[in-house]
Amino acid sequence: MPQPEKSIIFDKVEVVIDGQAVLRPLSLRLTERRIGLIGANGSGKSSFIRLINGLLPPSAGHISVDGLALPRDKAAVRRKVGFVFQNPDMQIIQPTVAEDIAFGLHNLRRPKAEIAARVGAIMAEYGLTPFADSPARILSGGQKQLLALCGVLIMQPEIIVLDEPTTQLDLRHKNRMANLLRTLPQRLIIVTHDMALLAGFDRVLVMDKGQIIYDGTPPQSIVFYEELIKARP
Amino acid sequence: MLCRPPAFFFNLAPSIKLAALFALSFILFFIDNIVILAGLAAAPIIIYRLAGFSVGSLGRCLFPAAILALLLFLFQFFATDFAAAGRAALRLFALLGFAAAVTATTANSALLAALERALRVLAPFGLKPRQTALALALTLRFMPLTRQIWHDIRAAQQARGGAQSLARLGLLISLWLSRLVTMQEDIAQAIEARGFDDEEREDS
Amino acid sequence: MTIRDIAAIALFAAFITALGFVPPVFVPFFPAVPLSLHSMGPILAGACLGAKRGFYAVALFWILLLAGLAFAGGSTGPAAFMGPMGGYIGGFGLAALITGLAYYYWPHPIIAQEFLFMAVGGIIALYAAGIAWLIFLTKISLTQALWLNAIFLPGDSAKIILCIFIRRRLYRSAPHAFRV
Repeated sequence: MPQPEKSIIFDKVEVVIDGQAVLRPLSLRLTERRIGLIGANGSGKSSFIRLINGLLPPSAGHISVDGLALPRDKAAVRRKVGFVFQNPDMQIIQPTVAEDIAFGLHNLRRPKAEIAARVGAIMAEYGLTPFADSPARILSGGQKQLLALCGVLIMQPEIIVLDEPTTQLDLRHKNRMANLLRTLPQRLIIVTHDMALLAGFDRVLVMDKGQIIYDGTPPQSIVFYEELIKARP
Repeated sequence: MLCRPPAFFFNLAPSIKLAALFALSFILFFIDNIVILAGLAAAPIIIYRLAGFSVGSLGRCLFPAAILALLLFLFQFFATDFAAAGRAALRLFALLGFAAAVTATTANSALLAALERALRVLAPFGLKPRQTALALALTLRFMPLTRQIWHDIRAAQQARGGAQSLARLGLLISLWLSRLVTMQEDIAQAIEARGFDDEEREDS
Repeated sequence: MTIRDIAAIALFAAFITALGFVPPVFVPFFPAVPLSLHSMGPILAGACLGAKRGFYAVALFWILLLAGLAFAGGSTGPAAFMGPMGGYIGGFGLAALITGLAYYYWPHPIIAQEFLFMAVGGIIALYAAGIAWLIFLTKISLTQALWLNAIFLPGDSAKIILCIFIRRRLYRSAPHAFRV
């Protein structure tokens, strides 16, 4: 059967760390535009999504992203897949806001004039221009997460993976981030505990103990997950 | 009267200032004439005034060294003679005064950029400019957070009360370092995810 | 040098820099002399990261110090290196190198050995560098310089014991962070 061009394929992938099975063998194809991933802490969600851009190498099996194989095409995959981490502070890695947004473009060896123009444009779009030369520490949690997202968006990825992007935000910034994510044209894969974020998603996977135990629409998966948690002591 | 515009000292390239400072520090140790040394010790005061700073600000910069210099001067004075003690003290003040003048008339970022450029000469010896630049940027970025973590840990300990002791201090510092090493993996992943060259090689 | 190495080096450099802002403490058994915690930075950098990476962490600190973005001995900028404390600041590099090398060649030391490693790196080498520059700068005699340093010995010995304790605790909680 011909495979769609735009798909992330896991073929008998497993992850074993220090003798512990973090992810049991799984085979999966992700083609949808909005995919959510929910599960209890320690269920393997963070490890699973780190497989997608090669941050975590699998112990067995193969992964491909839109035809690019990992780890062989890691650099190309990282140009295609942006990653937003849970803790905004740990992913802002340059002294000022503008420098941090520009970091990815410097890694791509883009010309300085182009970098300056693109950074200026994205800061203007997301209201970060007043903070261009400021250190990240003066930003609020929500602004830091926005900055982290800008640093990813400027790379023009086709897929964005987000690991609990709203967990550390207050309600106002949670809502802002949720609204922003809804408008993004990229394919999104989001790990979250915030069920409201999954409204309108195409597919939601439920993970538990290193396995995908349910795969359905958001309402189905959320109900399944809530029942699972209720049944636990 | 000012005979040069204040901007002169600020506009001089950091690399020139650092090179001049280095050359001067070298020359100073060959000068024994106490009058010349006195003139050189007074020169930073003139530079400060020409650059638009107060003499008091120079004094504040030199205060920590001045205390120690006084102690050493007294050592010399009782051990040898007034002239030797005087020369030692004047050399110290000249050196530190010029150094303070460089710091006062140069933006930190300009100095840092000049130092980073200077480090590129070590590229043939294996010191990669991109990695050095990243390491410097990371240090600058995480220094305030590192200090904040220390304040938070100390505040938490003070809130719990109890006597101060060296053992407590050791515990605090180990907690501090623990927090920092936990950050390493997250930061490394964030850098990797944004496509920084990851050269996994055996150390030479 | 991997990305993880760079992150580790930068964080230790931030640690050394931050220690320069921590005010000296007073040891209960020797209250006359304040104890600066700064030299614990390079000792721990060498002990945890190894000689090369530990030295790089110190070098990053030196660069920030030279640029006026860090403090050492109450000074900043070139004045910090050229002043009386300059030798000790230079000695930070030796402290990291020697401590790192010692742990590399004897990876599972007993406490007495660890004390020796850190004493050679963090006291003997550090003092030697400090004294050498002090003598050159001020022309005091070696005897005078040694006496001047002697008053810091009890405090620095206590610091080393703390460093051993800190390193062991860290090794238990985060062995993956060590790169000796």
